[in-house]
Amino acid sequence: MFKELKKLRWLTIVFISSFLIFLPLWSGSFIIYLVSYSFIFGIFAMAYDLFFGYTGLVSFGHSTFLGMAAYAVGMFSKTLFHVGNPLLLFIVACGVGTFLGLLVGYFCTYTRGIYVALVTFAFAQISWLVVMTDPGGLTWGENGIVGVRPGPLEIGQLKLNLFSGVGLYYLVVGIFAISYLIIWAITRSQVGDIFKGIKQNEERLLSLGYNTKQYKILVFALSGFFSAIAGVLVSFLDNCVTPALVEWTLGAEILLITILGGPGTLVGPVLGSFLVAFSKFYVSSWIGEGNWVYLLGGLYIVVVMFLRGGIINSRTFHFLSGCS
Amino acid sequence: MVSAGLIVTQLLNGLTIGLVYALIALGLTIVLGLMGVVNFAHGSFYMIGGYITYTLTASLFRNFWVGLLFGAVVCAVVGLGLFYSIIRPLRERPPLEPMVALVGVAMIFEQLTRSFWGADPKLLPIPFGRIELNFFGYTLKYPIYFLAVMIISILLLSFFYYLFRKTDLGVRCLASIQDRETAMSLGVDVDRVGRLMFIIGMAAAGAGGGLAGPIFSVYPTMGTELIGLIFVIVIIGGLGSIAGTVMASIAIAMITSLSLIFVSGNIAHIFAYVILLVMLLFRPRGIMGFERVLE
Amino acid sequence: MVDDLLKVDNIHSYYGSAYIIQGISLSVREGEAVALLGRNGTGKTTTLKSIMSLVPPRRGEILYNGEDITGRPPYYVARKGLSMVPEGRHIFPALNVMEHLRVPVPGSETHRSILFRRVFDIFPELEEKKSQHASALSGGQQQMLVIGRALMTDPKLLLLDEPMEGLAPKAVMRVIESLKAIHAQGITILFASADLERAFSIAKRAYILEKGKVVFDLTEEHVPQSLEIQRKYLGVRE
Repeated sequence: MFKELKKLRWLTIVFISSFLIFLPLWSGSFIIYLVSYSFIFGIFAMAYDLFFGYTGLVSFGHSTFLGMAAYAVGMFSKTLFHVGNPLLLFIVACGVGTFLGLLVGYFCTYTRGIYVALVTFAFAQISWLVVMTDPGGLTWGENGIVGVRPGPLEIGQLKLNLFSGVGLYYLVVGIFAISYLIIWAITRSQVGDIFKGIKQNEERLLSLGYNTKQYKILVFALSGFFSAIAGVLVSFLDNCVTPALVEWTLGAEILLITILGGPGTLVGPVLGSFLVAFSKFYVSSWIGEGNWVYLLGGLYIVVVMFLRGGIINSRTFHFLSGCS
Repeated sequence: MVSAGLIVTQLLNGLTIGLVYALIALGLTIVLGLMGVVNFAHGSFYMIGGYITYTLTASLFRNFWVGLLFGAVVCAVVGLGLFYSIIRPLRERPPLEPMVALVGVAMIFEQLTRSFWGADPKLLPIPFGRIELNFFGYTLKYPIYFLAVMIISILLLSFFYYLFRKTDLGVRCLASIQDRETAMSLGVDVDRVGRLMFIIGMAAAGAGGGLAGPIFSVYPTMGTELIGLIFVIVIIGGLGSIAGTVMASIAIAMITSLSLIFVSGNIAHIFAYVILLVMLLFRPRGIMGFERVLE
Repeated sequence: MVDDLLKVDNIHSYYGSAYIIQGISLSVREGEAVALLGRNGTGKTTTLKSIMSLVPPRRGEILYNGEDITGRPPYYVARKGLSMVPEGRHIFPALNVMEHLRVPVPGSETHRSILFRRVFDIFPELEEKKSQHASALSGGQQQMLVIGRALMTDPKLLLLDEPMEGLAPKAVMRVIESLKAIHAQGITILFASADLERAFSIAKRAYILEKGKVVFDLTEEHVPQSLEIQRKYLGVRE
């Protein structure tokens, strides 16, 4: 039975991978955009799931990591400098994301429970306000920075044009796959066990001698790092950076997507992000954008009231995720 | 050079707005203390109150005060519905879950407003004119409406004070916030107290929305924009503490109002959040909060 | 038999997944003063909390005055005539003495002024300090306050969890005095204590608990052998 499950899992992975690799050959640019968008927010969702699904900490401020990383890209490529090299932009953005993660994490180790959520919320508000203030003309205020153009990605002989939908699509999928593997590996490692321990029984960990404060800061930093990756990619995808990326509502949305998909499964939140992204575009064009908001709001309510553990936390999908 | 008149105007503005914020924040802190629920939809009631007031002022009754009253009543009714459908059933859950559901509620309310009234801000004319204030030999022209708002807010807050310290219900409410289990073992039906307080709190938030309408105008995102600041006030003032909430509201409103002389509105709000972070580091229970950390 | 004011029948209670009360049965007749003895952690607090419905039992029955009160909400139980003074006092940190006494909801028709009078008669020091904040009182005064507070529901059965713990000897005497006075007024008392001797200055009968079960049913005649019982079940005096 187990061997067959494993075979089935490998088969699914191969199937999905081939599907994704050959997708641009038979889809229009809009589908490619949508899939890229979903994968990018899938990375964000995984970053959030690592944080919320595993350690059980609640944050409304993850938009800070994603958004400020995106703004770093905007500033380095447009308003402050004119850096076009995507690798450099990645490094800068991830640095910003990780740094902010450490900062927020540090603040949060001095608070407990619901105050963690409020500290992250405060940071989200501060970043939003800072961005809207447009200090030194760097963030361009309400309308955001437009015309963010990453140069081509050059690795040795390989040159990938990131301005086209297809080129960026492959980059996104590739980065998503690598991120998934790294995060998955983290969750399976001892560090991951400690994260899970923080959620289940922090006192026991403390009594065993683990410095949980350090691990909390670590998960913040990791989460910030991967959120930043998503931030960079979204700025490449939309060629602009807007204040919507730092609003707390985005942080709330990713929390909801994670809950919807099933916290602690990694795959669940990714599927949740696909679900929300596709629904947002298709359902809203079908029933109207206003009605989509009602649907989404209603979904949040329904999931909390009736679907505890998310849509994905059922046995059917268990073998896909490969983690407990 | 900053004139004395400007400073006084800003201080008075801050006082006015702070008193309105106090009305709004009270509802939130009571619900948080009694039911353990972070009501993310609280801003929606502020918005509903504002819009009802606007509608009745602009079209139906052409009377601002009727509109204000109606707005508060509608908020109380809607609050009752929300209490039974979401707040009470989810009370036992970890605080995250009702929060998420209430975000959904807030989204729906905001969209409803957009659908029915459109996305642009609606202006409410400021009733009354200006009055001349004389002090220290200096004359200042100040809108009477703001003074009226101050008086009304003070009246409403006094009602709350009377309610909480002089009536049995109020004392039981405070006790339930401070130690729910003990209050229950003394015969207090905390859910019932919670229900009543929730309705009152939502009515107050609605009244706040109506009162603030002429000052800020009404727009669909007014709730979600303000809720952040209200949380700051609630935390700084101290969870479940009435006096603390009022003090924090006025302090924060005055600080942001004064800083408007020198910096833009957004930067002024940043100060509020920085104060919050500092508070959380050194005195998480707030100015007047008691030794109880909300988990 | 409705002789028993309180009858606890084979209850099993859990704190989350921890199995604390593993089948306790006890009974208290009207007018009695009974003690629950045992070391810390043997389930005394949980037993009282189960009776008060703060930790409702998963199995078993609790009958009060013939009525099954198992699992009813705590405020219902309180209004029926049970009142509890929790361990560690549990004052309301921001209320004053008078406000403390106004919080409880009386379970009977008795006029409140009579209830206030009774509390002040038993605890004159509370009347003196009517408007003082409870947090400013001494440990002993706080204990008296919370006992007085529990009396404001006009209870027929008063539950107390370690009412003498952590108090100075003078305060302990006051507590014992007041409990005797309360008992003399006809109020039934069931209290938890870790100290056998002190317990028997009020109680005539005691249940000894160990690991969530009743292991001994002690009456006054046994008290001379108390030293051995103490050593065996209650451990060394702190």
